[in-house]
Formats: sequence, C-alpha cells, structure tokens
Amino acid sequence: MARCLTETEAINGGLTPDVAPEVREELEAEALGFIDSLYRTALRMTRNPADAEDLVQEAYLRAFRSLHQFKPGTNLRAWIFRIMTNAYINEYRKRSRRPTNSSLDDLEEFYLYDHLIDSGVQPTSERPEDVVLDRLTAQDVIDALDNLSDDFREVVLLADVEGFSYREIAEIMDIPVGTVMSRLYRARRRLQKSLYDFAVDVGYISDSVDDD
Amino acid sequence: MMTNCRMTIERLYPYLDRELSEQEIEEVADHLRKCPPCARHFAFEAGMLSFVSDACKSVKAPPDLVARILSRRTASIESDS
Repeated sequence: MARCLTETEAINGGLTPDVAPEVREELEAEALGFIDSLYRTALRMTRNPADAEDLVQEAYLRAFRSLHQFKPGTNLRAWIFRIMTNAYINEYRKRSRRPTNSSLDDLEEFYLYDHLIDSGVQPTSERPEDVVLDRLTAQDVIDALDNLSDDFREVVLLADVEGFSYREIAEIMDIPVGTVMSRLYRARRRLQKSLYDFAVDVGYISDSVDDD
Repeated sequence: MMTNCRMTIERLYPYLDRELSEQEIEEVADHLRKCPPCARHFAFEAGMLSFVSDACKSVKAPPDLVARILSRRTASIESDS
C-alpha cells in the first residue's frame, strides 16, 4: 500500500486532494452524526464494547481517507455502513466464526406466531403472543440476536434497527436485493425460533399442545 | 377470502418494511380492515420488529469516541506528511 504522496497530497496532509476542505469538513461532520447508529451496530456485530469501538474508529478513518470516492448526493449513511461492513469482514469475521445453522432453513415462515397460536397456552384472558411480548426482555432479544450467524445478524440490524431499505442493505452488504429479502426473512425466522425456544425453556409458554 | 389472506400474508414483511407500492399498500390495508385474524398476525409481527429495534436502539456510543476518532485522524495525517 505504500506509495509516494503527490505534492498536493503532501500539502494536504496525506488526504486526497480532490475534496475541497469545506466539503470535507461538512461530510465528516455529517458522518460523525451517525456515530450512535454505527456503534450500536458494531456492538452487536462484535458482541463486545472494546472491539465495537475499534471497529467504529476503523470505519471512520477508512471513510475519511476515501472521502473522494463518495458521490455527493448519494446516501452517506449507507456508504459509511458499507465501509464498516467491509472492515468487519476483514478484521473480525475470521476470529469469530459461528455455525450458520443451515439445517433450520425449513422452518415455518412465521415461526413464533404460528407456534404461539398452535400452542396449548390458555391464559384465557390473554393472547399468547401478548404474553410473550410482555415477558421477554431486551436482553433476551439481544441474546437471540447474538446467536445468529454474522450475515443474518447484520441484515436484521440494518433492516429492523437502522431502518435501511432493501436496496440500501443490498449496497451495504454487496448482495442482490433478492438475497437481502430471503436472508432477512430467514434471519427473522431463526430469531423467532430462538425466542420461542427460550420462552418455552423459562416457562413463559408451554410447548405441549393440549388434546381437548 | 382465502386467496386474499394468503396474498396478504405473503406481503407481510414487505408491507411492514415499507417496500410495497401505494396500490399494494392499499390492498393489504383494505384486507386487514376486513380480516381480524390477519390483522392480529400483522400486529404481532410489527410488535416483534419494534421489540428488536427497541432492544438495540437504547445503546449510545461512548461520549469520547468522536474525540478519539478525530485525534487518530489528525495523528494519521501527521504521520503521513
């Protein structure tokens, strides 16, 4: 990667010369406005605060170095998320491989709802789905998320937490829109199975279907 | 009615993800007004999605992270030049 700086670059402090300083300042400030969003995504991807901080710093430094590649008028937030995704893949993914649980691919599409409706839970006045939503905690959801494979976890974070569109996620993860949709639906299904299994384990709901 | 339920459920996630056209949104919304079981299912899935979102969204970046990024940025400029 070592190369000589051009004269303009040297004057410009090693940063690429073709971004006007005032534009650079504006873009950097705008990008830094996304820090909470990037950090919470990084935290769920790396599953630990120290790595999350490193990943976010790395993403910003890479973004600031390649600001000349950003096309003005396009989506800066999606652009920096893409940079962070690539940084994660390069730096972290190899260290933290988790099984992809591909055997779960034949799960019902709406796993949790279907099972709750079919389950023998009869707290007469309450709907089973309300019981589950009322009793599960944020930490239960985070544990379930952490058990998803990287690709599944990221697509859920981008769609459900960060609110990116399918098209933006396709750009961030560098996959076709159709793959975004199938991956997202499969990821949600696995997340639901995980929450359902947990709810059964701790006794929020009963897995046995009554005969009567 | 059955076909309509099936078609509506197939559009559940694209609907909740705001990925449908105006016309498709209206078709789904129209069906949900007339069909309590589908409406109940949609309400549950919408609740699940916001549950996941709420669980993660409360996290904020450490207060000094921006400052650390800016100082590393400056340091990297100085070491380059």
